[in-house]
Amino acid sequence: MTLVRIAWRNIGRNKRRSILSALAVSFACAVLIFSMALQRGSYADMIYNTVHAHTGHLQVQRAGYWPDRTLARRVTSPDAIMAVVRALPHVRAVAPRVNAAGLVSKGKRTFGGLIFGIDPVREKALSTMADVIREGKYIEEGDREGVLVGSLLAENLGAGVGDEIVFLGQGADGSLAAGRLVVRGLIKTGVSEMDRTTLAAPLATIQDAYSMNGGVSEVAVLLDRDKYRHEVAGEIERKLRERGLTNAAVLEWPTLLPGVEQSIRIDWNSGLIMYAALVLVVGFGIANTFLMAFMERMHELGVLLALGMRPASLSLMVYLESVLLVLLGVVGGLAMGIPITRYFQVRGLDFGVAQETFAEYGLSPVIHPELSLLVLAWAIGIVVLISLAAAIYPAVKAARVKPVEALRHT
Amino acid sequence: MKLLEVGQLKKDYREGKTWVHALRGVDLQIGEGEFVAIAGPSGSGKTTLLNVISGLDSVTEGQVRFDGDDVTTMTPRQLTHMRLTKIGFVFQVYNLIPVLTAQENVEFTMLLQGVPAAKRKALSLDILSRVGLAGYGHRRPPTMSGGQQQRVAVARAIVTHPRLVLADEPTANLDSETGAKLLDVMKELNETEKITFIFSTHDPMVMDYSRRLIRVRDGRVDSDKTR
Repeated sequence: MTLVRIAWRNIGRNKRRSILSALAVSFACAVLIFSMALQRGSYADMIYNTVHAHTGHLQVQRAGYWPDRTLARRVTSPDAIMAVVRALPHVRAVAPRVNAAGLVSKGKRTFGGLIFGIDPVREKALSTMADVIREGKYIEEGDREGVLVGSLLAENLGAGVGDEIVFLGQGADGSLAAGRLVVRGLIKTGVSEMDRTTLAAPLATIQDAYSMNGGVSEVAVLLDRDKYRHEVAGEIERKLRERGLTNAAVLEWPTLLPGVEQSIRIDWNSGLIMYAALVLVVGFGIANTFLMAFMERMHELGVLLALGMRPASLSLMVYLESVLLVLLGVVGGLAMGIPITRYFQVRGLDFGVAQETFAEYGLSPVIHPELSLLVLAWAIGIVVLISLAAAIYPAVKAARVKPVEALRHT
Repeated sequence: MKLLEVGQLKKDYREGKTWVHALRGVDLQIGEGEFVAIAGPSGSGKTTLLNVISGLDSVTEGQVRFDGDDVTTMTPRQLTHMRLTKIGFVFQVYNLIPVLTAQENVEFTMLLQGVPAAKRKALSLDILSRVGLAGYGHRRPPTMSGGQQQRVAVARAIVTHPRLVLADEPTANLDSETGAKLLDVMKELNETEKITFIFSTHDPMVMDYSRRLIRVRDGRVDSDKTR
């Protein structure tokens, strides 16, 4: 017979109240597990969509290219790098690119634009550029003069499919870069910044125009899972070093797109605050239950003190009751939350109402919650921490009970 | 040998806006092995006197020496230890812990004392048998009669062989036959174990069983007779 056993039996005194309290904890825990998993799942989708939209999981650039992105700092042997990268496990696609800037004109209209030189076949395997064409068609292999234009830029230029546009910029060697392109398709990513500035033309055409001498700005790498990113980046660096390609740098998407990682972090942290607020409400309810259970037994607590129980032990016993009840609730929460989350992790949660909006931007309207140890640890941590904090008050009160006053309670 | 010495004991407490003078200068000496009843009408100060003797309540003025120690100057921790090791309690309404079995209730004070489990079990079964409850160890209080519960309370009070058992109206909720049986048990324990018993009571039967009867009235000792 220990304090734990007494505490356990005390929980069974008012079964209905204990069950309801445990259920409140269970419900809070299950809601947190599902919501957090959904949140993590949406991040996974966000990362998936972001890396597929353009950047890839990794990029091999020349050391010092990032963040100024000067054309002169180019990768001079893209084929050798691509051969190394393609041979690695978890690598799904590799695509070379030139990232140039210039003025784009049609008739009297001129706008600034970001001109990407792409390998149409490799780019199609890596990014969603081919999927976001709203009008016209994708650039075919061997096409030397075709260009895909962002829908807003095309609107500003007054250009449509089949129209000619000209570009003007500065080459890698400081020379004038200029050329004529024919609009093959209009792309709409949903990101107005991109739709207002983007042009994608055949790699060789842009390499020639911008005096890249066969070099590229970056080699984008798409992996089968984001979780291998760090491992593959390390492996690429090691292999490149082995082959003497020491002036290459491997950058991961959080470096290339710091905003995405920051927005994920902000969203996660604000989510944690919201969850804590939710559990706090549950915590007040639990505190009330614990306090009621404590007050109802005031006379009995007085007896225990009269018999020689130390106030600290009494406080511990009261607290243990709360701990056991919370643990029961957490077990219930796991029993509810894990199967539900797993079900939707497999089937996906369909936000069908917004299907058109999702589709327009090349996104899937189905989010798959991502259950992980991190999610479970956070959910359990928040629930346990707040619930047990709520139980401190009755425990402290128990430690301050005056035996003679408690014995007068009936 | 004096086990308990109370000198000019006063106890005042506040009840709402008025001060109650519960004890107004009690002088008392009780020796080891005595079987004493403190009788008096409601509000005469009987329970307050027991509370002060056991250190459950503080004194306003005066002295309480128990087993050679000045109870009035003890720290709460010392008082807790004193109650745990030297005093047993029997309350009017049994006050057993309802979630524990009869045997576990008896074991409880030994648990607090740190007595090993095997010894606790042996002692508790033995004492339950002595109070006529052999075979009732597994029963929980709500499934027992009032008399049985009070006998468990007595077993709990004496299992650790305390110097003193304070019994606050122990027969008040029992019929006379059950009350008499309980008093027989306590009397026998007093005679065989030499445990000192102090009762606060209204019950004439308890007064009859006691060798010494102290009557209190208005917070003072009115009479003190030994038979």
